[in-house]
Amino acid sequence: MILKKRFTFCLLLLCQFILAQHDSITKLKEVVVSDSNLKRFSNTQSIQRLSDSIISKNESSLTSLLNYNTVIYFKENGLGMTSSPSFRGTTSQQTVVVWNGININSQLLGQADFNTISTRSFNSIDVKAGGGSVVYGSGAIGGTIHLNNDLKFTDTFKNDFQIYYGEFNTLSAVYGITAATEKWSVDASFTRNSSDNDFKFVGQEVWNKNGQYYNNSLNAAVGYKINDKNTVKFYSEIFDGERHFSLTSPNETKTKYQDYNTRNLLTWSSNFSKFESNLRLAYISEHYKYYEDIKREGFTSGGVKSFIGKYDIDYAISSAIKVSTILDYTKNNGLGSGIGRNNREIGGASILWKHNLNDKWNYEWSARKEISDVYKSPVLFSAGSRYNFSDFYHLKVNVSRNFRIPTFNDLYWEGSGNPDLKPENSFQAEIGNEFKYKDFRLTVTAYGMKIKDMIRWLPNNSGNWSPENTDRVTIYGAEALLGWKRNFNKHTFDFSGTYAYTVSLNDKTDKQLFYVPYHKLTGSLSYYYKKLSAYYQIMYTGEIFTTSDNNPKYILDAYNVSNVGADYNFSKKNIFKIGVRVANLWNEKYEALPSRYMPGRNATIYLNLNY
Amino acid sequence: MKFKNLYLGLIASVFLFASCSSDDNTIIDTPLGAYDNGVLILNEGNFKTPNASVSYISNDLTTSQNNIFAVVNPTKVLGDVAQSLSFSDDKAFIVVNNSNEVEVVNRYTFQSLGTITEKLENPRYSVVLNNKLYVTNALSNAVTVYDAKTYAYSNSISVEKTVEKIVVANNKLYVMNGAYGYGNEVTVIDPSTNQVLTTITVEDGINSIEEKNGSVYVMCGNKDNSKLYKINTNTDTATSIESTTLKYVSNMDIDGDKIYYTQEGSVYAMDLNAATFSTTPIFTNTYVQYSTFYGFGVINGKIYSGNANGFTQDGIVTIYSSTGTVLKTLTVGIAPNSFYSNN
Repeated sequence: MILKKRFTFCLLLLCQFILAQHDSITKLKEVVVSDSNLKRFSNTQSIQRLSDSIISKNESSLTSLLNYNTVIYFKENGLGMTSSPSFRGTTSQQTVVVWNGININSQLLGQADFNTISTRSFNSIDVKAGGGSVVYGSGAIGGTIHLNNDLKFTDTFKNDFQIYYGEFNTLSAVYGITAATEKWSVDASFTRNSSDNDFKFVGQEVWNKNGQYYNNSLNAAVGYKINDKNTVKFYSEIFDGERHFSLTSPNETKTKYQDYNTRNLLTWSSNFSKFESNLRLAYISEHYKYYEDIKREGFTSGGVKSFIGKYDIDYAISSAIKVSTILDYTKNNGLGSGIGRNNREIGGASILWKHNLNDKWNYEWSARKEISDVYKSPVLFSAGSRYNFSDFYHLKVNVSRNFRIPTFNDLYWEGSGNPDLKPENSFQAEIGNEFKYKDFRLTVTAYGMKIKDMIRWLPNNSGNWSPENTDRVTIYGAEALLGWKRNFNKHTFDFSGTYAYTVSLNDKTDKQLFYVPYHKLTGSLSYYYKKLSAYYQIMYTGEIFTTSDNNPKYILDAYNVSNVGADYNFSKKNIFKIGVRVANLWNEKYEALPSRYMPGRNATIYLNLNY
Repeated sequence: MKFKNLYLGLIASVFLFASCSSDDNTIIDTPLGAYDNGVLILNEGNFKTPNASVSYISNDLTTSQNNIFAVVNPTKVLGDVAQSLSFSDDKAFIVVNNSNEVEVVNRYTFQSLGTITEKLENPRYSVVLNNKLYVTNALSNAVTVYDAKTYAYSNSISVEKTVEKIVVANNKLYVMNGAYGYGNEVTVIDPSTNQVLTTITVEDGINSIEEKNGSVYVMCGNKDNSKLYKINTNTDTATSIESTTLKYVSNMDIDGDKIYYTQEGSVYAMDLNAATFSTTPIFTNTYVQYSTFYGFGVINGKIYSGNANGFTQDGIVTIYSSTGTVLKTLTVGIAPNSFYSNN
């Protein structure tokens, strides 16, 4: 106990002048990114890149990866169960997951379930804090999470196999192939995750019951360079998973939930001297089945199929000015228990402008207007500027207006849906300070946000719960991303860390929104020596209110969870790594939501091959 | 400046860390010893979270205590959604809906006596007749039967439609076939044969049922009208009175020779043998459905109202005199849904 405290204390002292996360995106030339707008028009906001090496050190769910490496707080209903984020104090529906440039939040729920996204299928994952509705549409208020399959056009042929096996019969395996010439590039992978998930609760003679899950995902990205000017790419993902929902009382009726999601995207990029154009056609489907009693056959189900067409043209007015327009069209067809059959069509136009005034100073602005048959949409905008005072210090400012449209459930749920809902509407501003000194990087961002017309399900007059535009929320806070990398002879240390202070107040009551912690901190320290690598991670989440009146009786205690791992590469030229990882090293008893206990100390062994 | 703040922030968080030994939020309280001569308030808690609780307030409204089940039985968890309670002799049977349990306690000391789990599938309401406990189950659409002394399961009565509130009259069981504003039938069961005797059709929106002087009273309310039925338990036929002015009437509770009911934020009363609904409220509250009058009961001339407060914080119980004067307001547990006289 004493040792544990001393250790964390020392680690935190270290954190004050260490930690590292790279917040600007640097890429090799031959890499064709899946989402060009992210790179081009996000110079005045903060972007944190999680590379494949970070991805492979973390557990395979997007929840776990982001929980230990970013400021985002997760409302996880037990390990592997439904999980939704709170980014910058916003609600679950105000963070968007963007798959290769396409918003994939559920059209039914408005949010993404971060435990149904397997991270190991992606080359990199970017976390962009702050508004992004102009480019990514509905829900991009707190921030956006970008899942990228980037393609390389250099001669390559690699097989990648990673297998992780841990306690509670937890398996995670991924097999991937990367093959490319100067014309062709293929990146495909198959991922399988499964677990009995029957861990014992720390300090109790109680085991997690009915928590078993599995999921499979198949990913493919194919690119073809037709000629110097034209490239065609196709991205595809199929996700198939089943989760039993773990019980909160021992004799509860057992339930389970199945997800089946497909995503397909075809892009055509053309590159002329001053013009660049990008055509994207996407077809996305989501489908669920919910079994209210696993012993019975009955289930409820629903799904939405979406077609998205996007066309953007970039034009370089001069070497310093770039302007871009995006035209897009989305059609959603929803069908299911509770929502009947409903369609929605959205058309949108955006304009983006970027100007480098000189070497040190640039500004960018963008605006978007949507037209829909279902709701009225405001004019969205974003404007920002960046000034590089010196190599040591850069200043960024950004203001934006963002929104979230009502979901299919909000609009159409039988007997409850409210067709008169307005979109949620938010204004925000942020100031980012970037410091760089030798191997040290620090980004400190302060922000403020007002959200109105928040959609909340409230009881109505006809005996049902129904969504209404009610709450107004004021959010302010600060985030720090800190990084440091240093070599001492053959020893390399790499530190990275994040800290967020978040105040998110309901304007009516002046109380902190529940399930938004004031403090969250993450830190990771990696050490490399020749073929050996070792790492230590911590995640601290401050106490969390679970009631709207912030009643101390129902507070969830703060928790501080650490993981440690080490591996050794036995191969001279390639990768043949064997490693071990211990999660929740100090056996902390913690719950992210009431009665949703998380596992105690548990071990995983793993093997990574890359030839 | 920013640097300095960050630095201070990090220092501060170090201290936070160092002092993050988990504080236990349990409120230590000592049992009152006796929970009689008062009213038990069931706080159902949040769905999927085992935070149901029971509160107590004495008849003279001077003594009250929250969380009495946990205070008396510190090692036990009441469970997830305490739906209803029924008494038999010195026992109280607490039906815990989403936990699939019936918690049996001594109604006066609140000492736990046992937990029934067998064949319970989303249990809703219960009643005791001739030493047998009858429990309605929403998932299996059946009434399950237990020995009220040994708690042993004996048999199930399949109804094959929604089974909700259950009352005893004339040695028969009357089960409401409706919930959440839907349904228009009452099933009559003969407990000696465990057979369904008949089904009585009422108006849509059946929501309350109660036995009084050998008759069964049923309240139905929907978007067009509200109807009160009186079932003759010898013939199992019903007569009714109707109001088209008051729609969606619910929360019927009989106290003495008065029938109380609510419509939106208003409370009304009429005589047991009234020929028409009273449309003059005793008092009116700001109305938020599913919060205002989430719990409602009239006991010895006092009107008990439970406000669920949006289910996101502790509920509020307000006690009124029969003329609508506020006598007492207290904060209870999450979502107070019903009141039981415990004398």
